[in-house]
Amino acid sequence: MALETIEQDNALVIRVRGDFDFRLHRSFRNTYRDVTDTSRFVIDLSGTSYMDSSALGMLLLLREHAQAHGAKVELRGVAGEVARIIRIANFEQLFTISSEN
Amino acid sequence: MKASCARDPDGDAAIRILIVDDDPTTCLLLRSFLEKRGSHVLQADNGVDGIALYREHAPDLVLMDVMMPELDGLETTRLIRDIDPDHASPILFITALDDERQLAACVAAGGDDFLSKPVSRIQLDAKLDSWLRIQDLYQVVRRQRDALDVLQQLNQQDKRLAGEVRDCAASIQRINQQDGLSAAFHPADILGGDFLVLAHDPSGRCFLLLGDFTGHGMAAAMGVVPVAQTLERMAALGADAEDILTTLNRDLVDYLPVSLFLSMALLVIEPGGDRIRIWNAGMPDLVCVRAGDIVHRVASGLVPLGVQRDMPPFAAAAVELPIEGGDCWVGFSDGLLESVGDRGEALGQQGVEQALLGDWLQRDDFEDALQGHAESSHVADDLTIFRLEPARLAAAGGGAAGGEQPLWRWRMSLHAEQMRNGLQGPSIAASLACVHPLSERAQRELGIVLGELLNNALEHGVLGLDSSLKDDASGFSAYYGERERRLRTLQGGMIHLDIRCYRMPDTTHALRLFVIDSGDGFDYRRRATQQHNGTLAGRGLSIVEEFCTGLRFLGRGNALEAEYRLGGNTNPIRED
Repeated sequence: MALETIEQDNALVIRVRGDFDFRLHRSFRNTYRDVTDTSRFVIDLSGTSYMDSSALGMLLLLREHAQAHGAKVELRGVAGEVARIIRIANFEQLFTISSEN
Repeated sequence: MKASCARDPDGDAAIRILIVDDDPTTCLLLRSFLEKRGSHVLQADNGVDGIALYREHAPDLVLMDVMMPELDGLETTRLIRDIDPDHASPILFITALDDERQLAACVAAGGDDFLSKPVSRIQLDAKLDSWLRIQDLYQVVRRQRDALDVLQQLNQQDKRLAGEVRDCAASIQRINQQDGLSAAFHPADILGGDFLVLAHDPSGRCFLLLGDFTGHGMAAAMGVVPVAQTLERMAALGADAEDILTTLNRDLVDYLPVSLFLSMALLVIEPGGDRIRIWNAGMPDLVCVRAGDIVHRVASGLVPLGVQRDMPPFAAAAVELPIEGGDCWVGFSDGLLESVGDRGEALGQQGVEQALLGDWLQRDDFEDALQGHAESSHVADDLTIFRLEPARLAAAGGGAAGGEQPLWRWRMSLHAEQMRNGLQGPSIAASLACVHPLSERAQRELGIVLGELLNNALEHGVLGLDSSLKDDASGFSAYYGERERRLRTLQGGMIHLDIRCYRMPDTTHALRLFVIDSGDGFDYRRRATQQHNGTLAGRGLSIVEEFCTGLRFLGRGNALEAEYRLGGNTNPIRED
């Protein structure tokens, strides 16, 4: 399990590798809590092998942070079971979602 | 036929009267009297035409001459009564006869009364008024009888249907197929409020519940199905007898009207068959017979179920006794106490015990003998009795009646220590893949489902966390902070994971996942299905529902069952 952040084209890209579950809640928040000047947050889930319901909660918190600073959130590399979990939660209504890496 | 039952005092409007007489003078006279009353007159001058008119017009009353050529009045009357055995219309003979035997013959032929010739108008009016009044009354009674017949038939049909449903849930035939158990059941009505259910838990523990709902008939039978099902399902999940009783009592308090409650005795034979635990809530004394003597009596020590929500702890109310080889336990409903013995008196507890020791218990045909006793003694209440030999029932193997056997079963019990090590859905799924070939996709999906189920049991069951905490960012952190803190200091608490694999009729496999925690549970019947878009909590079970079918809460809300279907091809394949 690992989090990796890259700044790219005025966006903060957060890559989540391995398991995306509650154990990441603190470190995931740390990746973005001080970032207030970007226009986009991109969560790259292409390397995510497992995701649980608490990860959905973490994504909603990120969205709240982004909205407060006028930024958008994009979920990228969404496929397989991860896509299914995101669909169950109707997150396509809340986030821009793409399956590309 | 005229249906009105109120007679018009001003006349016989629409009343049809048939005159059968070959004497034109009499006919003319009668017709003029009747038409003055406003009656509609039908007239025949012989018996054959009279019968034809009767058949065609169904008159309200018939005036019949006795002496006619060919078909006389008596024979005509007999033939009319053949057409109309219900005796719907009065037949009055117009006769000059004064021979009493002849008059009696008129009545025997189906006549109702006489008018002597010459006919006086006053007499005719009086007799007509009287007979038409009787006729009205008769019609009303007949209509009510027909309506009652229909209702009665519908009622019987409903009861028979309800009885079939009831018997599926609590079948005496199934009980009597068990080694070491025999029973007789005689309902006072088509439907009974007495029942007997046998259930087994996964460890081989046997539960036998003898129940008697207040009263008998439809109302009493209503509760049988849910009680039988709750007992069977909770037992199958490995729930404690105390939990089962608590759930049954709570359900009955919630669902039954105050006047309806359940007297019951629960007998639990522990795995191995060396101990028995008994709860008696409102049933006659249960007795244990050993070597021809009564060695134990278990009297009622609890109020019946469904009366009060807060019962004293069930654990403290149990009577626990060792089982010896030849022990025979007998339980019965109070209908047996009221049943009549050889000397024509109600048996009572003492009489029942004497009969048991005298002959009943020895009989190979116990259930038939007791069934015979119940049927011959015309008891006004349901009557049930069972004879249980716990050692034999336990030896026959618990689970024999527990339905299909799983292909394999995988169980894990987690204490605080293991919970602190982390509940890893994916690693459990990986272990399952060593037991049963799983596609990569199935393994990933199972990992997700198990992760959600276990975390749900831990966070809400064992740790008692309230997910509404997660509604905002600071709460979210606080929630996981609290999770960590409570888990670190957790002393007791258990989570049981029980996975059973069944082969389906179409040769695919289904995994039934049971997760039971030691928490207090919650009132799942009030859990509304709701959308969770806006909040940060409550999404875990929606994920389980996406991958599984038949997600349901059990027990007191501390157990969850879900079914995951595997494809027919269990070779590892990529299905993305």
